[in-house]
Amino acid sequence: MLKLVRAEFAKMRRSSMFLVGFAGAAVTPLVSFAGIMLYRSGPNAEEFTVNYLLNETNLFNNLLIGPALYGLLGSWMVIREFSEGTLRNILPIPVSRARFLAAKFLALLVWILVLSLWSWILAATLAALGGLDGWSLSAVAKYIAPFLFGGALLFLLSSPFLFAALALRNLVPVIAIIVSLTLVSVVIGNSAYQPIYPWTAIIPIVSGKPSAGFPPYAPYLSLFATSFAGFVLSFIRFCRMDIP
Amino acid sequence: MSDGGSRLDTVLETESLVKRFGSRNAVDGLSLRVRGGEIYGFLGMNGAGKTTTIRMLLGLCKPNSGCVRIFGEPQTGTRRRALSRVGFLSDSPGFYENLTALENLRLYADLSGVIGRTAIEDALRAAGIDAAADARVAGFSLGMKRRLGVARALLNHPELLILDEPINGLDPAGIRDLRIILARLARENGVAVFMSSHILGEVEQVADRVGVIHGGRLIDEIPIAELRQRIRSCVEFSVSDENRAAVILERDLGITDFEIPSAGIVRVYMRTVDAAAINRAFVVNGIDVSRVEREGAGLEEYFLRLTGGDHA
Repeated sequence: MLKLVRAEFAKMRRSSMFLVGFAGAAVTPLVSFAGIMLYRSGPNAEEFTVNYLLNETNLFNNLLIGPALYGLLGSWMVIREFSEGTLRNILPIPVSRARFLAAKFLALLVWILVLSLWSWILAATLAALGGLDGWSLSAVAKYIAPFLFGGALLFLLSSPFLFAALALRNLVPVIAIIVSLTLVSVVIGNSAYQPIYPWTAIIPIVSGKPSAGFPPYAPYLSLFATSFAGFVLSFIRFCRMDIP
Repeated sequence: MSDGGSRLDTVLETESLVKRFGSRNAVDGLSLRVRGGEIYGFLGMNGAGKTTTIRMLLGLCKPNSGCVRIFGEPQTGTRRRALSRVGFLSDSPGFYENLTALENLRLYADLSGVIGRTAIEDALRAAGIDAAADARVAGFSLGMKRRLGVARALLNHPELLILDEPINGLDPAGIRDLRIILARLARENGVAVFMSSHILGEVEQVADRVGVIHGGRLIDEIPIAELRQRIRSCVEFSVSDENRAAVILERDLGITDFEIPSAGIVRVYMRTVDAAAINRAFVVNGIDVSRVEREGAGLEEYFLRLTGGDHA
């Protein structure tokens, strides 16, 4: 399994998607910081502390950029094997299909955690450079866990996208699905249904705030059921499919 | 590697293999055997079922019925360990284009359990692609990718090579090199080769036995010597003195591949018979020639006659 995970990272060498990942994960800290700089001289300037920047960055990572970016990266990892004709050359080595897919998921998890850390590092650095109130090593360090936790939950939510990638084997319709689901997140994000839509349920889970109108387990149930279904369907699909 | 004693053992076997796509049988009850040290040419037109058969051999798609045995082991579900002794080249030589040739092979070597840079370098050299080892595959021509595919197929020192249309995209030098590699592996190392192609002339030059697939069915399976006999074309001369004609053929024209099937008939077998030159020699030497007729089928004619002359 270690060989397969290592191979996944070897495949990314010199790939433009590697840079896309880092560039995409840099968007939220940069945009959040730019917003603070823009409104810093306004009436609510005292709000714009280190905590504010890191909270905003994590929120937008979990709600907007993360699902889209990580869904795209995971789907690309799968679809490129079909489009570049490499899958039909790797599986007969022989490589177990279940292990091959598991290695992809594991590599994606590692990649997402690295990008979550990168996003945190960037936000913390920008906060220091911008001289935001409340900056200290301990103040920023306490956000490492929420960033990584958010990343891990986003990884769980990438499984339906990987299933779509395996079923469609074409990045364009998969991107359309990812964008659609992310737009739904924007609509539902501020509604009462936030805890039961899997891609917004992540917000009450990470923040630890109870969900009004729904039992406390509702966000967990929504997120984990979606993730579980995505994983199971992905493995069934991949292990049974004829490789073109 | 197979030793001399095991060369004739069956290394690849299919039994009543069926693959359906919708209502169409892409492969229909295919049974064949490939022995150790043998080069088996798997001939068929486009869409005849060659690639589908190879995909089933390599475990890429599942047969609806029938079975595949490699080195005697049935290849079912997750039990495909025998494939580790197989080298393969698929019809599209897929590589990670952002990686170099060397990096690609290193990745496959790592997953195959092949240890050491020497094995990779040997494979690259054998396939004649060593000069481009550090170049990114994105810049490779189809022929170079094919050569790299051959290198990948040789990486694990296979006992069985499964090649899908291996000469597609190769230049004449590449085709010649591949022919030499396959012949050497089969004769010296006892490696069995199963290669598909729709180019009869190429298969004829390298294969020991040929199987012809059409509409998913194996419609003929013969040793190459027999195939050559079947496709041997000849020119038949009706002459006044067959014995003198034989002397002229041998002495003056240096032709030995001929026969006298009956009195007054001389049949000259050659790939390209210069019938006019033979006729001239007979007449100059006082032999009357009353009839000259070309007989027998060429390779293409044979194949078209076998398959009904249509596409699958």
